[in-house]
Amino acid sequence: MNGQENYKIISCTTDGFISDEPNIDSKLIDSTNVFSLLYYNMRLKLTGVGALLETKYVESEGVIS
Amino acid sequence: MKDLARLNTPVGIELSGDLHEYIDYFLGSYHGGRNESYIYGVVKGKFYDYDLPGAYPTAMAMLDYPDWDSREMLREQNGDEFFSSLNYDLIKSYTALKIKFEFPSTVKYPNIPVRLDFNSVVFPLTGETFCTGHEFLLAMRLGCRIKILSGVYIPFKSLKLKSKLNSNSISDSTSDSNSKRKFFVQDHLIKQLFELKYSNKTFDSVEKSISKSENYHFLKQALQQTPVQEEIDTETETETVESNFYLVVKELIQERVKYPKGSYMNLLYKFLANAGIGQMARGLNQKVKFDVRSNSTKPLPSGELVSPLYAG
Repeated sequence: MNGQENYKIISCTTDGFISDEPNIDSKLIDSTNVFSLLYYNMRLKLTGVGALLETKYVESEGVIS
Repeated sequence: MKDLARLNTPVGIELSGDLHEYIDYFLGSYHGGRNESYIYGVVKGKFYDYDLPGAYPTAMAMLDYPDWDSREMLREQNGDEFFSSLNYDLIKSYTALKIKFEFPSTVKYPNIPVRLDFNSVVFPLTGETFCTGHEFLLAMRLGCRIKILSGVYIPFKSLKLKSKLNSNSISDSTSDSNSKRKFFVQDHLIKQLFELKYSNKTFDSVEKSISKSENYHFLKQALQQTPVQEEIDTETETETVESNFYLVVKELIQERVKYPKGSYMNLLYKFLANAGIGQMARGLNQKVKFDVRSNSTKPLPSGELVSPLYAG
């Protein structure tokens, strides 16, 4: 997750990314990353549910263009 | 900022006060959204698509009005020096910098945007560019060496008020159950966490030690509890420090959840919440769009909500 492990990110956008590393969503919830905490806190205040990353899809093959 | 093009005219410069002295930094540091692929073609293996829920409205809710009177033009200095002078306050500011930077070669995904040409933005290990204060902070987090050539810093308007509230009410409230104060405690602890991490610069070890500390457990507990914003708003009207950006997003979300998921009204409020940040950036790049009425391409005009400070 810190960019120095064997996992890789194959693409990213402003608000998400695709990676072969599983469970990043739950790892971030437990992290002490300040930016994560700020985001989590704001989602909690806005919606009543604290949230960071969520897993939208899981795919086993695809085409990156 | 209704007419950006007219600002860069002799009359526009003279009539805009000193806006022209720093607006270019914010225009330069606005690079639009990030969209990158590191692999092309067919990929096989298990991949996970992660997404920040409500990213655009959430980011917009964190904005605030700029405190124009407290703005500062920045001189040449190294990144550490600049960071030390502002620390956590940099998060609560509109900051635009012209920098030279160099990431360690071990960083796989650098975060500083550099324009390659009119249509492309890349994220190299080294370069010279304009960036925002938040991009600067993340780069520092990744161990980047940064030299600030020049720039501008404008604090959020709420910063002074929040500092005053913190100093008046936080010191004796970390252990009581007064829900009115929880928001301030959360913010205060995040600030403490931030300062501790950045002062040590060995993030991994600091994160481990923080996770064992009393403050961290309190913070996590506070974050997991029911939000208390309604009580803050109603009970302490004069102490409310939330910006109008937050209030607008909050209202749109409250309206949206009144309707079933997937219904027209639910999607309309979702669209309104997401569109806000886009309206703040509309026309900044002078991009041309196809106009169905005239059957031709035209430059996208800016509008009342456009501001390179908010958009970046």
